[in-house]
Amino acid sequence: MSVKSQSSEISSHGDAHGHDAHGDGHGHAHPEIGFMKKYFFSIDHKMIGLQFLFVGLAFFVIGGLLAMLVRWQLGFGGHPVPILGAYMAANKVPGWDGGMMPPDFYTMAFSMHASIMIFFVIIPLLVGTFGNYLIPLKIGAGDMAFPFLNGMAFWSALPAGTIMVASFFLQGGAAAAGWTVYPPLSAIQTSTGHVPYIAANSAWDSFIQTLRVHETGGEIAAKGDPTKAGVVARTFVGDSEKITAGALIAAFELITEDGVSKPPKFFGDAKVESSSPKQVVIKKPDGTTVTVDVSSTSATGGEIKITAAGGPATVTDAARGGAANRLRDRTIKVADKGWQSSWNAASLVMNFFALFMGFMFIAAYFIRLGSRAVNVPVSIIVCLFTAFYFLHGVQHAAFDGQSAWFLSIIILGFSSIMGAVNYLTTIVKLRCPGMTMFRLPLSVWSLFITSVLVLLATPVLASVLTMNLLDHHRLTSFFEPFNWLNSNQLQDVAGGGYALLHQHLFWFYSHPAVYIMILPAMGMVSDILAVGARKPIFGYRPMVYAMAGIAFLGFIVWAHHMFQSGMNPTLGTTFAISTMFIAVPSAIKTFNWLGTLWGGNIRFTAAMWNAIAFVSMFVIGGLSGIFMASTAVDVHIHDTYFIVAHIHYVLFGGTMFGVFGSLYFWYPKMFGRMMNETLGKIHFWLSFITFNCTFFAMHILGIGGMPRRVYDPHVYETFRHFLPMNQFISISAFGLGIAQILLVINFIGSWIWGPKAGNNPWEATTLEWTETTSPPPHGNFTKVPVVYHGPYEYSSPLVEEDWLAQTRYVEGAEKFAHVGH
Amino acid sequence: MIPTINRQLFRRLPMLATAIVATALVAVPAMADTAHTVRPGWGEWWLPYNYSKHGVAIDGMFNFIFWLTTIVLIIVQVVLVIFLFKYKFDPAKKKGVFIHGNTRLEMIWTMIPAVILAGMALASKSIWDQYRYAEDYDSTPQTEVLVIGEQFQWNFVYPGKDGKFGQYMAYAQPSDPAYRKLKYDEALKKINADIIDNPLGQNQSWDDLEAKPGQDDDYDHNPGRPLILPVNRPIAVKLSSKDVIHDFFLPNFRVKLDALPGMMGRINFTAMPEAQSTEDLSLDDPKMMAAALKAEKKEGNAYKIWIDSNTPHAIMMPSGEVSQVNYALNGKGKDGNVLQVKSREDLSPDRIAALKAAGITRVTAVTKPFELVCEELCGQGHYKMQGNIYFVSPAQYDAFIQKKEPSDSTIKQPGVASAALK
Repeated sequence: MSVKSQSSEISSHGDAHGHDAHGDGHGHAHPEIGFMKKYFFSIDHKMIGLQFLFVGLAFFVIGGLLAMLVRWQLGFGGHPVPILGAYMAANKVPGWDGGMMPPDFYTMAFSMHASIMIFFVIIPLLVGTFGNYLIPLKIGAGDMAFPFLNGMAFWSALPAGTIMVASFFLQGGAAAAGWTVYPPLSAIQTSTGHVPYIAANSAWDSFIQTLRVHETGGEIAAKGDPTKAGVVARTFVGDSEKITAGALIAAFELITEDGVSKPPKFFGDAKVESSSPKQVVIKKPDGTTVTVDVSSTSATGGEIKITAAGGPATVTDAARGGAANRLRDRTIKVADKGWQSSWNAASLVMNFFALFMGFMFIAAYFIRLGSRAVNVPVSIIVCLFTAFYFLHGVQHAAFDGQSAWFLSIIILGFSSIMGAVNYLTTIVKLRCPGMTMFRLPLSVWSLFITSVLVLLATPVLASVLTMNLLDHHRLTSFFEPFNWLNSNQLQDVAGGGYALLHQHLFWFYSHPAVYIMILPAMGMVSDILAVGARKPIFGYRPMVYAMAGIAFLGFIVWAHHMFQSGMNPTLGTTFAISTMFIAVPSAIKTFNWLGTLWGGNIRFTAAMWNAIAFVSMFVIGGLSGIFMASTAVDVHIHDTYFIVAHIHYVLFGGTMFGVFGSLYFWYPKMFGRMMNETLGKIHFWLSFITFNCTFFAMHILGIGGMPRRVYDPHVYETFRHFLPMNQFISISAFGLGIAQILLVINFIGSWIWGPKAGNNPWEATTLEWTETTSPPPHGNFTKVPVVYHGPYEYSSPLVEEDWLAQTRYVEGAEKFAHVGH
Repeated sequence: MIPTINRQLFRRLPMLATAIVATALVAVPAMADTAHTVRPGWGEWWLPYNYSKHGVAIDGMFNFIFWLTTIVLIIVQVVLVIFLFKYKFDPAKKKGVFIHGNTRLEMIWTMIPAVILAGMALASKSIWDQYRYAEDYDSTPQTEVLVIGEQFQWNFVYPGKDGKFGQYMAYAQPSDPAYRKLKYDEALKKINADIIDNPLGQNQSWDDLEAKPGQDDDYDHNPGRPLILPVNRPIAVKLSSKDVIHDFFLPNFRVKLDALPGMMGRINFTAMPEAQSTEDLSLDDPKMMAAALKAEKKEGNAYKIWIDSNTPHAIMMPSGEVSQVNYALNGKGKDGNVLQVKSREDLSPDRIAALKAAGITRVTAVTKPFELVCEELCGQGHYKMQGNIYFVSPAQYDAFIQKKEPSDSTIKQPGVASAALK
C-alpha cells in the first residue's frame, strides 16, 4: 500500500483546510448579506434548494390532506366528513348538508390532489430541492452557472403554487377537470355560482337559481308549451344534487312571475303558502294546495315527491335529464361579474401577494444594477401596478378555478425551464478538474437527463395550456369542434377545433414528465444504495445508458395514455410497441440495483431502507405498467383503479420513497445535524406497510373495472361489492397520512435537538461529503477539488477503509475500477 | 358522526387484520345481485364475467401477462429479500465484493426482457386488430347503433327499418337562412331555444336526400332509456358526443371507447349467446319467486326483479325502469297495467291463478341487466352517466327495430310527465 502515503499529500479534505481560503472557489464573496437576501431572495443554490424543500413539503401536506378527503368519500361516502364537513355544515355552505361531501367538491379535491402532488410536490422536491442542492456540490462547483436564474426559478414556482391553492377560494371553487384538463370540459367556465363552495352566501345562490329558472321557464313558456315548462322546472329542481326548499320556492316563483311571459297553466297564480327545509306548500288560485316533499337531501341523490292534485308522481334520477343543465351556461355571465364574497377577496389578496412577490424578485435583481435610492421605490411601485393590472385583467375575463390552474402551471413551466437551462449549463461547464462525465455520480447524471427532458417537453405544455386558456375564455376554439354544445347550448365561438389535439400535446409533455418525476429519484437511490451496500454501483455505464434510453423512449410513447380515446387504432399499435420497450431499460436498472446489493455489507440506515423500498416498489409499478402497454388488456383496465394503483406505485412507492431516503441521507449535509434513526425506521416501516395496503388493493379494484374519478362508484351494481375493500383502502390511506407526522417530528426535532453531524457521517466518497463541511459554507468549497476516479469506489482493495474518496489519489485505482467491465 | 363510523370500523377490525380474506367474506352476501356480471366467491376480486367474443382473447392476454409478471415479481422480491438477509452488515466482514459490473450479465438481462416484451407487443397487436378492425375479420352484416353522449345522459339512436341513420348534430348556425336576419346574439338565443325541441340536432328537412334515412330513426330524449342490442350478431356502435368527452365502457363486454365531440368513433363487438338478458318464464318459475323474495328483502337497488311481460298486461316491477323495457320491446307507449311485485304475496298461488285466468301464463323476464359505465368527468354537479343495456335474441331485436314508427322528435317523459302534469 505504498499509494496511500502519496494520496494523503494530494487529497484535500475540506475540514482540514477550514475556512481560511474563503472565496477561492468563486469570483465574488459576500461577507455581509442582509436577512432578506440571505433567506428570501437568495441566489445561493443551497438556500434555493432548501426553499424548494420547505415549499415542497408544505404542499405535500396540502396534497396529502386532499387525498384523505378523496379517500373519505370513497370509503365512507354517506358519512359526514370529519372537521371539514362540520365546518362547512356550520357555515351553511351550499352542498354540504349534514357535512357530507358534494360531488363537485370531490371532483375538485382529486383534481387538485393530482395537480399539487405532481407539479408542486414531486417536481419541486426532486428537481428543485435535490437538483439545486446536489449538482454544484457533487460536481465540485461553487454555485450554479446562473445563480439569478436559479432564484427566479424558485420565485416563479412559489407564486404558481400560491395561485393553485388560492383557487380553492374562488367563486365556483378550484379546477375540477382532472389534472389532465381535457377539453372541452376544461373549456367550460365553472364559476357559475351553481354551487359556490366557500362563498357562504345562500342569498346569492338562490338569486342565481331564481334567475336560471326564470329565464328558461319563461323561454319555454313563451313557446306556448306550459307542459314543458313544468317539466323543466321540476327537473331543474330534481337535478340539483342538493335540494333546498329555497330552490323549490325559486322554481315555483318563477312560474308565477308575470313579467317573463305567459305563465304555464298548471301553476297559475300559485303562491307559496308555507315552507320548511323538508316541505313546501303552494296554494293555487282555485284554493287547492300543492305540497312538495323533499324526501331526501343526501348528496348521493334522492328523490322529490311532488304531491299534486293529479296524484303522486316521483321525479327519479332518470327524469333529471339534461333539461335543467342547459340553464347552466346561461348564468355564467351573471355570476362572474364580481367577487361576491369575502373568500374571493381572500383569494384576490393571496394571488396579488403571490404575483407581487414574483415581480418583486425581478425588481430585486435590477436593484443591484443601479442606484438603490431610486430603484427600490420605483420597483415596488412597478410591481404593485403590474400585479394589480394583471389581476384586474383576469378578473374581467371570468377568472375561475380553471383559469387559475392554467395560469399557475404556465408560470410553473417558466420555473422548470429556467431550472433546466441552469442545471444543464452547470453540469456541462462547471465540473471541477478531473470530473469527467463518466465520473459523475448517477444522481447528477439523472438530473442532467431530466433537465434535457424538461427543456424539450415543457415548452409544449406551456403552449398547449396557453391555447387551452384562450379556449377557456372563448377567445379561440383550438380544441372545440364545430357545432359544439355545452349544457345543450350552442357555443358561439365553437368551430373547427379538435379535442384529441390537446391530449396529444398534453401527453407529449406529461409522459416525459413521468420520467422527470422518477429519473432523479432513480439517480439518488443509486447513490444511497452504493453507500449503504458499501459496494460500487453494478454496471455504472449501463445505468447511464438505461436512463438515456428511458429519456429517449419517453418521448415516443405518449399516446399509450390515449389507446381508448378515439385515436386511430393503428397508432395504438405503434405506441404499444414503443411502450413495451421502455420496460427494458427499467429492467436493466432494477437488475443492476440487485447486483449492487449482491455481495455487499449492507448498513441498514433509514435512508437505506427507503432506497430498498424504492427498488421493491418500483418493480411492482413497472410490472403493472406492462398491462397497460398491451393495447388489448388496456381496453379493460384503462381509466380504472388499476391505473391509479400503477401511478401511485411509481410516484409514491418509487419517487416518494426515493425522496424520503434522500432526505434522511442528505439531511446531515443540509442542516449539519443527524436525524433520529429509530424514528426514521419506524416512519419507514409504517409508511411501507400502509402504502402497500392502500395501493396494492387498488389493483384488484381496477381488475374488477372500478372507474377512477367517480364520486360514488358503488352506485353501479357491478362495483357495489367493492365497498368493504374501499373502506379498507381508506383506513390504510389514513394510516399512511398519519405516519407522515413522524417525518415532520423527526425533521423539526432533529433540526433543533439532533446530534451534530460530522462532515462525512455515511463514509461516502463523493465531493459533498469529503470536501466540505456540513452544512457547506457559501461558495461550497474552500479549495477547488480535484477528482481522480469514479464516485462509487467502495470496498476497494487498494485502501484500508471500505471507501475511497473521489479526490483521494491512489495509484492504479482508475485502472482497477474497470476490471469488472 | 364519528362514533357511528368508529363502531363500524371496529366491527371490521378482523378484516383489517386479514385484509383480503375477510373482505371477500364480508362481500359474499352482496354478491347475489350481480351474479351474472361478477364472478362468485373469490372471483369477485377478479375480472368480471366476459360476454363478448373478442373478450376471450383479451382475458387470455391479461392472464398471460398476469402470470408472467407475477413470476417475475416473486423472483425479484425474493432475491431482494435474500440479499438483504445474506449481506446484512457484519462488522467482521470489513468489505463487500469489489465489482463494477458484468457485461455478459447486462446483455442477458437486456435481451431476455426485450424478446419477451416484443412478443407480447405482437400478440397484443393481433388481438387489438381483431377488436378494432372487426369488419376486416368478419364480413357478417353488422347491427349498427348510434350512441351520442351529452351532459348528462346517453342517447341511443336505432336506424329504423331502412337500417340507415340520418344526419345528427347538425345544429343550426346563426348564418343559416332561418336566423340570418336576426342579430347574432338573438339568433344564437333562438337556436338554443330550438335545440330543446331537437336535442340531437337531427337534420329534419326531409326533402334532403341525405337526411331522408333519418325519418324512421328511433330515438328520444329520455335519460333513462336503455340500450337494446342483439346477441350473437356483430354490433357496430357509432359513438359521438354533443359536448364534453364521455366514455362508453361495458365492463362485461371488454368494450371501451371515449365519445368525442366532433368525431365519430366506431367500435365493434359480438355478444355471446349467454349474454341474453331476457328469459321466457312461466309464472310459477322458481326464479320469479326468488326475485320476489329479493324485492321483499330490499336487496340491491331498483332492478331487483327484472321481470317484464311480453303480454299487454304486464306483471311488473319497480317504477320507471320497467316501463321502459316494455316500451323498448313492445313499441311506444304500451306500459300495460303494471302489477308491482314487491313481496312473495304478489306471487301467491291465488294471485297466480287469477293472472292465469286473465290469460297471462308466461312472462319475459329480464334477468340479466348489464351496465354502461362512464369513466370520464362530465361536468359540474354530476358524477355518473350510468346506462342500462339489455341483450335480446336476434329475432326479438328485429321485431323491436321493425316496430318503430317515424319519430316525432319530442321530449318524452313516459310515466313522469303525464302523471305529474295532469
